[in-house]
Amino acid sequence: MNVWQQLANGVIMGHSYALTAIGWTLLLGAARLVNFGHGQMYMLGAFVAWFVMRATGMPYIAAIPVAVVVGAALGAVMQRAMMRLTLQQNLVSLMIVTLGFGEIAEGVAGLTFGVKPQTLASPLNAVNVQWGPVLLTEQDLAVVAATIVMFLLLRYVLGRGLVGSWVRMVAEDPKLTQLAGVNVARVYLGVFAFEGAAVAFAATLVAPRTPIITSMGFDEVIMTFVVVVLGGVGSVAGSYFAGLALGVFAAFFGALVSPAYTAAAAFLIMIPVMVLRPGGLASGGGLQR
Amino acid sequence: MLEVERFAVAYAGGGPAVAVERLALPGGALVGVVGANGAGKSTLVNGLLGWSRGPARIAGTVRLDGVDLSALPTHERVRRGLLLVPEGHGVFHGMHVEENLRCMVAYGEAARARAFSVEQVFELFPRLAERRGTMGASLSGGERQMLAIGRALRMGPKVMLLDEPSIGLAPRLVLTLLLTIRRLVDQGLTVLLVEQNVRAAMDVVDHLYLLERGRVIADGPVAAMRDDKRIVEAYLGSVRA
Repeated sequence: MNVWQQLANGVIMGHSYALTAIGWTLLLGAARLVNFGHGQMYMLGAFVAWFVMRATGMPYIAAIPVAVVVGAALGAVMQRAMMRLTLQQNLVSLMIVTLGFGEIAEGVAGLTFGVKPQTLASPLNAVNVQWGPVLLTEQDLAVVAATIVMFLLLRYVLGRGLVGSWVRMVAEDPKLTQLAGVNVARVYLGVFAFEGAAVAFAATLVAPRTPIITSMGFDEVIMTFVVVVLGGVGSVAGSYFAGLALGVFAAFFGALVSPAYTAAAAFLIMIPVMVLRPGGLASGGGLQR
Repeated sequence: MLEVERFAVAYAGGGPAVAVERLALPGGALVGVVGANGAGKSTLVNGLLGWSRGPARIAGTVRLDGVDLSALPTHERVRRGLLLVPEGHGVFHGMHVEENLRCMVAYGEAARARAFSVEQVFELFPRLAERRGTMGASLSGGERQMLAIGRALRMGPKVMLLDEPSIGLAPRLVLTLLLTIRRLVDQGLTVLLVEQNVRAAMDVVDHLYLLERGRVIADGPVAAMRDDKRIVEAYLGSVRA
């Protein structure tokens, strides 16, 4: 086994997990919303990019912002549909609605884009980079760079200024936030739009590395469940490091045992962690804040 | 000034929990609303902002300086200068004291002129200045009340509704807090003070409303209310006998 290559694979995979999870991390942190439609939103991001490239001959780089805008719009539509439930923090209904939303998105995508596997062609994928024993593509490097930029940006925005404090206020107590003169529905709108945009952005960068198919949704993002939960609900730094750790684990587990059981192994680790540290790895201990 | 007319709040499936024919807060006055536990005091002040923790139906007119607010959502009423310091949890636990103050911003020129700066809040409540880096969750009950009031002042309120600011505080602290509120009123703020501690409230308010089972059963200038039989019997008791 080429240890360095596996480590590099793990780091890249970890960044792709973290990038795919970032929108959801914020959504979960701010709106307490478990979005079971996250995977289908990822799928739509990839297919919107693929579709505009095929239909208009647009280059890959130009297709990314299109997918991001469509993703943001999708997030906003979701918020409109679920606003009442979100304001009431009706978490069980929200979960089921997001699940339904995902199923509908998958159906619509199948009808629109077909059910055959496709390739989201990125020119960066064809450029190899050799570092000693490690072979990478420029696409891999783009994923890593984009992830780091996105996380730093989110941390910066949340850490200071009014927008960040609105999100943290809504996360803690949306009712009390209204008494501060904040339009809570609009904060939710921003958070949902960010979730949609971020997962679409992740899809345009991560999806070129494998074939895409409209039914890929849920399975494609199964690892992001582990990332957001292990990182600590809504913890930005936590989910970055959880993603990274999970990626390295998955790479070595895949090389040493079998890639087929990676998700099972990840959940096998996650469950005891959840039981012992309900707030996730980033929390101070067994207490959830 | 704040004028309330034919105002009613009902919770799902029930009759009106609060029904108030008329209630007025003249500008620059400190008006008390007192009554027993469950009389509907919190329901009343929350309802004035169209705000409630559970689903509620709210009807009637709420006018602030002649402008009807009844059709506006809570955050719009707040932006127009009607601030509520709710009972119990009025601060964010996950933010430290200074952040709790900084995240409040006044809307509009006039409100900005009235608004307290963070430093002014610290002058009003020096204790908060000492605790400026402490998380909301780690504050004492009294510190939380001061912070919640400070937060409201940051938005430059025209009218401030205070829901039981004295709850859970040591007697000496209650008096200090109420005197601070009185001082704010003397400087021009209009305040509606909800209190269970009737005796303490009567030391500072100008006008008193007595609420029972959601209805106003008596109201008047505090001097007159001091001799009102219902007040004496129910709240002042043997002290005045």
